[in-house]
Amino acid sequence: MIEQDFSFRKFEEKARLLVPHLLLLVLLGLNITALPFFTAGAMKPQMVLMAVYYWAIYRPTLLPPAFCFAIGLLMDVLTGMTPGINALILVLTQWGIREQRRFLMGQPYSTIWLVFGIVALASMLVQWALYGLVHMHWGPVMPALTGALVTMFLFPFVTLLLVMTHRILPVASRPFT
Amino acid sequence: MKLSSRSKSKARIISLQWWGARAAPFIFVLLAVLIFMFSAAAPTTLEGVRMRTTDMFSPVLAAVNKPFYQASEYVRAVSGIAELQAENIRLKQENTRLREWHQTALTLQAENENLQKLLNIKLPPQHSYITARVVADSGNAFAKSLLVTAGSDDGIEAGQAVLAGDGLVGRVIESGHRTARVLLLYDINSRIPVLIQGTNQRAIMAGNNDSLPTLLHLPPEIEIKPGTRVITSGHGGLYPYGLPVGEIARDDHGALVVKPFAMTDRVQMVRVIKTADDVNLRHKTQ
Repeated sequence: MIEQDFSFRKFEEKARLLVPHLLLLVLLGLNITALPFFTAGAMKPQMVLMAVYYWAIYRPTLLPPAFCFAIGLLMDVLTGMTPGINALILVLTQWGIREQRRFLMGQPYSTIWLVFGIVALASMLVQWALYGLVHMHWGPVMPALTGALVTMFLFPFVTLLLVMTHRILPVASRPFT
Repeated sequence: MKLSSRSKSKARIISLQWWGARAAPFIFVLLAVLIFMFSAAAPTTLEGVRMRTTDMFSPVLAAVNKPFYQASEYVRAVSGIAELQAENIRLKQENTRLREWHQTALTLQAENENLQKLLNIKLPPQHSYITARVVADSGNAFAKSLLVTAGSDDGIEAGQAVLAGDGLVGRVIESGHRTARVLLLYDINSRIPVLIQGTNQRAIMAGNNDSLPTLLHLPPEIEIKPGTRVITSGHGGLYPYGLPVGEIARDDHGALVVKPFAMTDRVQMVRVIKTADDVNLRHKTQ
């Protein structure tokens, strides 16, 4: 009887841990799918970057570097970008933010938002520079800046969803055995 | 001496601890850089893997896209009700005008056919189309491409021209079994041989990641009026002759550019021109 109760709790905790991953897949889908209100992806916000940034601060073990790499590579393949660009950006974001998470965790939301704005801008500029490097032609930088701005302004809305999934998660210090 | 060896071992431990947490991200950063360099140096090598992965994920992409597609159809239908009456009056007037044009077109067609027979002219083969739904785009401001739900199983091959609504949107660059990637005419890699109607001037329309592609190889002294139609010239054999592309416009610096007819921004359905049917062969098989 005790054995059954124990495995049910374990299953429930694993299921709860799956929720942020499912949300990440939804955000990935939104990032890739053709939306009728964003002009051919030109101003599409970087939804996956938002999730990677958030979890790197509040639950870094949830999206480890290997997971960020795999998601980034999948994004590259499905969007027709040169493979490696998004994988590099997501792993670097996860790494950099994880290094600074102790500082960021003690900051108000406005600082978290501002730092995300810098991350989104840096991500867009890295994409712009690397894509230009592949084709030896650097296009106008303005769409990249607009994309970063849209990403920054939509961050609070996606944060709400991420906070909701965060509340579902089991406490990190609790043993999962 | 003893102190020195202790500090050395301490430094080594710190170094190992430092690396312990950073080894995984460092390895994945290195791996991403290597994949990027490899893909940049040999872009076609990973093409097969890319299309197989895209084929695998196409049902998921179509499922994610479906509610947005239906929502946009619904919004279009609802917002259209208010304008329906005005549009109905306009369409009736247009229909009367078009009936007159239809009679003229029939007369001209018969005349054209008679002259063609008289001259024994060899016409270019006719086209047939495959209609496909757009399920994904590049999702960024740099690569301008679309993913459509039709592939080699439906007769789609790399190089085929793609139309949407009023004009050309690009060409197929990769084709999997169930999906194909379309390079839009805005992309910096797009080069389309075009003909400026009325002047018979040929040029290359080059994408610049902006909404107005530029025209290359035009004589500097040439004068073309804005609004002049631009069509595909058919040179190089990739695009068939006569596909509507856009009209001449001028950019902020006064340079000649092309304003495409097709609204690629919110395109949901495209028509891929299938490998040309030979009219003579078709007559023989019938």
